[in-house]
Amino acid sequence: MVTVPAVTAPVVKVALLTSLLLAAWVPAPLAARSAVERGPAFAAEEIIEVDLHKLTSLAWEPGDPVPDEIKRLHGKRVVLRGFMHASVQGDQRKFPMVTEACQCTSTLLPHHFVEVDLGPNARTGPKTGQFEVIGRLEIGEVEEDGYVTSLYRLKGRFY
Amino acid sequence: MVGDLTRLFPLLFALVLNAAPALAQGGGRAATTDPTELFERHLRAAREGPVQIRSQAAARLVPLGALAADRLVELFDGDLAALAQQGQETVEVLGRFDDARLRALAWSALDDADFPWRPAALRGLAHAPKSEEFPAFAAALDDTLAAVRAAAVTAVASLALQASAEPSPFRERSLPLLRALLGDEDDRVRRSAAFALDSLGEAYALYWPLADLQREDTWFEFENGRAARYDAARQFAARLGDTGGYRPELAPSDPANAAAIAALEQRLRERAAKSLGVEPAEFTPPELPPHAQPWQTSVRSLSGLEVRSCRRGELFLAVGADDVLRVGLGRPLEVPLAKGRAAELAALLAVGYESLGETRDFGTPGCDLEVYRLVPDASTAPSYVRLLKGPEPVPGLRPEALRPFLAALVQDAASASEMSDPRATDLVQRIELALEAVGGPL
Repeated sequence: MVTVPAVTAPVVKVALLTSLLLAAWVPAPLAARSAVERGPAFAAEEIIEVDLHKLTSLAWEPGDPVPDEIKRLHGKRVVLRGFMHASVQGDQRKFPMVTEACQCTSTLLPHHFVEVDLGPNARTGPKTGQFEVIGRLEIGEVEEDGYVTSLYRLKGRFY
Repeated sequence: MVGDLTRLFPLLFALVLNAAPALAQGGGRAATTDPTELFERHLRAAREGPVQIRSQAAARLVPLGALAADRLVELFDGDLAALAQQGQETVEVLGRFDDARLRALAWSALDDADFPWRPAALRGLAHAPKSEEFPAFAAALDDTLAAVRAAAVTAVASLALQASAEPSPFRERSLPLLRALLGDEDDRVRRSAAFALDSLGEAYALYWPLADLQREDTWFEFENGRAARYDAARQFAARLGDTGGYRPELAPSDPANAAAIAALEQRLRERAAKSLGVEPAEFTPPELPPHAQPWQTSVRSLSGLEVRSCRRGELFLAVGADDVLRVGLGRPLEVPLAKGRAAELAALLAVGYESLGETRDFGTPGCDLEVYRLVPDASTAPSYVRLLKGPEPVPGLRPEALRPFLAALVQDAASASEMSDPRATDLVQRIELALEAVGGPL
């Protein structure tokens, strides 16, 4: 584990209020998504350095349970080190973070990456080489249009 | 505000509940049960959907059975270009249909050296291999692409295991082929062969992935040793039920990991001895080829070249500060260079970078990649120039400014022809082929 300077983000009252209300009935992953980076109150929160390989080397298929060892990282503030997936083009708010930039001969599965969300006001272009991100990790299947689009998500920033 | 939101809850809740079944069936739009419509929807999602859903969409074609099989034949039989456009996820499910026409289509894709998704074709075929396909799977063990070789191992072992209950040549024919792959230059192929051999009663082969648990090698920023540790640990856990407390995220030298590795070695010794019918004390562990032995990268690289082609395979060259050209990942082939040559090559590449101005990426992302790395000093992260492309040739993709560095690198690699290491064989030709596949001929 490492201790790093806290990330402080402006607290948007409406968003916080909504997240508190939604937390009462929305499934846990979505509730956690709304509660990211809530400011100085979390300044002393421990930040965990998580090995991206640990998350993505899981033998997993949609519908499978996630091992407790990984599930317990849900909602934690973490630092991850990895690469941007080579498919990223143009300026993006979200991108898949992977252990190896070119997955040229295998398909990208929902548990093979962490979807990094830089927030509504941030964008990034393609990045070559290894980098780190810091933020709150969310673990759980997210479905869109009947397909699982991700198992891991992180709202945060480049570190 | 709170009151307003509270009043909205019943409405929101009802909307979510009503939407759920439609989402589960594959559409935010109205769900359909019409198989023809479902086929078209899944096929489109497998081709154009977000990358991470394509394999799910393709997999949903299989339960549609004969209707989907007929339509896939209609669309792609005799048209590999269209199949390539459709993408690797659909190619991978062809072999999952119990349909001779689609298996033939997948084999034809594999037989075309320019087809971009050959590993996917073989992975699908290996899912349920047919006895009559044994010779073709055995031939694929020698394929140019490591991903094809690894998939072929699965198929060959599967056929050998199926046949082991009755008299059949498959088991005996498989064993020497799989043993040979313990010397493969790609660690994924070696691990695949090792676990396959263990399944066939040759437990000594597990000493190969045991060595992977001790790897700490890197290639520039790629932590290949760590990736190998994770993969080997995952497969050991599946095979033995546990890894005795081994944790791949920790260094192999960590006391807890060192103890776990020692305990695992003892278990493997007993397992291997038993498979040979001898006492553990009488068992002599196998001697691994140099490139399969644990390795810790200790020399900084000044420049490097990474080439990955979905049609021609992978190539990794790194020029170390100690004037050694290192070829490959893991424990690399080491080609000594003249004193000061590493600095000269780095300077050549730096001149190339300078000529390119600020532009560092050329082309658009696809399944082919040619990446140059330059590390000016020990405290600086590598800087990159990338050539990116799909399976189609892109004339003029490689800037002329990079050619002097490449030409010098190829010239240096030629000195490896004197070496006895099998990885040195045809090294220049392999480099030229790999480069030709991405940036075009030198």
